[in-house]
Amino acid sequence: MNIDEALPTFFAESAELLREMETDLLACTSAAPSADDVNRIFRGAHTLKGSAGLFGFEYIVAFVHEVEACLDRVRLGKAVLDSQLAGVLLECNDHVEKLLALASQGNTPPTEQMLATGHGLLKSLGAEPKAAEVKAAGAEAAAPATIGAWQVGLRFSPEVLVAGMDPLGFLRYLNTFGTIKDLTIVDDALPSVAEFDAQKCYVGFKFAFETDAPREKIEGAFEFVRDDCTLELTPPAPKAAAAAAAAAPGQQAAATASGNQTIRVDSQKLDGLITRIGELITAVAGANLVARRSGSRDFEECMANVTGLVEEIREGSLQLRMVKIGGTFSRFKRVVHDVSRELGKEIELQISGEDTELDKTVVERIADPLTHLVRNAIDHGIEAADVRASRGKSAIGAIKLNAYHDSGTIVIEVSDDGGGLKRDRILAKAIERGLIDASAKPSDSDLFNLIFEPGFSTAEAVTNLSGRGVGMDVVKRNITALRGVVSMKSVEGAGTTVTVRLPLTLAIINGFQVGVGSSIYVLPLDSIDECVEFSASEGHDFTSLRGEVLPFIHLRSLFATQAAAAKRQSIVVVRHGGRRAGIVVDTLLGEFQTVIKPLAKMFTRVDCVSGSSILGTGDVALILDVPAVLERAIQRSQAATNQQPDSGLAAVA
Amino acid sequence: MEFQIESRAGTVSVCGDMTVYAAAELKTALLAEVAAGNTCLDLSQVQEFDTSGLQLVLLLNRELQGALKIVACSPGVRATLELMNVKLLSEAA
Repeated sequence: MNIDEALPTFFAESAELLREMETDLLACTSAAPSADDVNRIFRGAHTLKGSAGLFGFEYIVAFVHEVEACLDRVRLGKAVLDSQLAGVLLECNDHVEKLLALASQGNTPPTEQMLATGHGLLKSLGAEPKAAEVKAAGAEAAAPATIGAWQVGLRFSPEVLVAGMDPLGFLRYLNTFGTIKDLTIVDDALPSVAEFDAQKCYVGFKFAFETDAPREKIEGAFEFVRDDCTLELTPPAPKAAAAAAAAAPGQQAAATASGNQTIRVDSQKLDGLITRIGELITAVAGANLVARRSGSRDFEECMANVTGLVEEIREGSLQLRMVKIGGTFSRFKRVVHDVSRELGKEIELQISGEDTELDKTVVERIADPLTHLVRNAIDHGIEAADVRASRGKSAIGAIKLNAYHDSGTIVIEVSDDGGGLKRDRILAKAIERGLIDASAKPSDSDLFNLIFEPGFSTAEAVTNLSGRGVGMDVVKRNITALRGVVSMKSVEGAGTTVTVRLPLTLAIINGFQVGVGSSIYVLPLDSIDECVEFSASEGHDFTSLRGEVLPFIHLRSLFATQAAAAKRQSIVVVRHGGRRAGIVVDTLLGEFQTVIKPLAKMFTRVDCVSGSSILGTGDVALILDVPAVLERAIQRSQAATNQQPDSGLAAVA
Repeated sequence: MEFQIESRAGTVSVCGDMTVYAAAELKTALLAEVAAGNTCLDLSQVQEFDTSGLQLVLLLNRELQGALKIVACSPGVRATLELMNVKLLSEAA
């Protein structure tokens, strides 16, 4: 086994370890850690050190060793893991992350500056009584981490005996540079007498192997049967952990078993799979069309089966890309911890809905905008402690992160219980900048959304508007790029909530096709409430839906379609963000899986269209941007009720 | 044939090698002995003993529901059984 091949795994696992340690350390900053917590952090550091050593990253080993020694002092009760020490350890964590980054760039030794940072950190760790440190280091030396028993599991392929290899021989060889202890023969694969082929190998072995030889040497012992055996090597655990493991061997086995239930897959492979499934869906749509034209019933039946299967595959493969948002959320614990420390504010982060799943690409790209929103909330949302006290709020500010699913979208809320937005100032600012009429009376949501306008917040606005708006246009642009929308709610003095709505996936959606004239448009099925027959008195832009006013828009006029209207038109009722509107179309074509193709750059300014899709016939259908269309419909009907002249709509397509 | 089997008073003595080369025949022969009620093994004349031999011993022991007794064995076999943690040895001093 080439050690270099294992490197990416090492980096991935180290990053995971660091993340886990970070979570635990952050927990320590708010509450006194239990012995279990300390042990877990210690084990993390220990594992990290061990594997770094295996790959020869000596500078990581040296640094982590000190961190480990410090944690050991905590374990022995010679030091207290208070929030201050946890803070230093967090910084150490960051330092290790940097060292790892360095190591991943081809094992370049750390710069002087980094070494100095490391030394500084270690010094703050070692500020505990010197004597204890010496003692702890001594204890460490007396029981070097490398001595201990490896846990070895061995399985051979049945053909190994016939190939002239004797598994016993390898075990005897192992005994030449170590001691095999507590061997158990795994004979559960031993077949019944009748099926027992004496020339096949059925047994496996499990044992503890005491040696100070490195992993390579143990693996090397099985060089000759590398293809014919599976070797499981678990490095010696630190003493305490070993004791715990011995006490609960069943538990450990269970842990290993669950560990095997996930595999790491290169995300590019997944992307490739999704792309191909996209092509498959388009191809199947084409085949379906041919089937219908051919008039052969058998053919159509077959295609119906195929379509069903493809749909399941699509669902399944998209599921593969779904990850829980909790991982992203817990990252903010750190952001909150750091920023609040920096600003001297006491802030508590409350997280809910962390099990909500969404597409991995979306998760990756939403992290930055969310960080910005969270930082903003801490920096400008939460007031200073004395101001909070004067307003009768708890001295500890609260930031809430929440996520949930809502009609095919995921909603992420970032809220704070801070000072809120100052409506008057924003209004004044907006009028000053000519964004709205001086006489206009915009709704709160319209007004607050102006904050996302590029350049709305200027230097003098930072103080006036409690700084919100700095980079908010960037946040909005990032979210819009993900086909999402962002909105803001705020009550002055009570807090602000920023709501981000994102599509669950970027690649394939369940689409509902509608026709106008000869053109076909696609609406995301999840955004559709129902379809009703078109009925409205001439000249009105709204209808009554079971007694409720429903504004609607003619797709024909929106896109300036030339063809005459069909005799019977329908209204598709769409919903977004709690609002509803109707879209008037000629024909309802039904549900189709739709592969989203982004529009070319030159069309990015086109309103009401979010993408395109290729139909089975090879024709292109435009995917409607439901929030934008809905907005248009509502605006139009409001304009009409206000008896103002129709502003006219931009014709596209 | 690289081995010989002899049974007397419930004890089966194997003489020769218990390796993969003879495993198939050994299996048939030993199973027949066990079926005939011989539940003790004398391995003192066994030279080579490999994984297939070990498997056979395990198989026989399972057939006898754990009642197999190894009453004598050669130093080589003893080392292997000890390494393997197989506790079937019950030597009559």
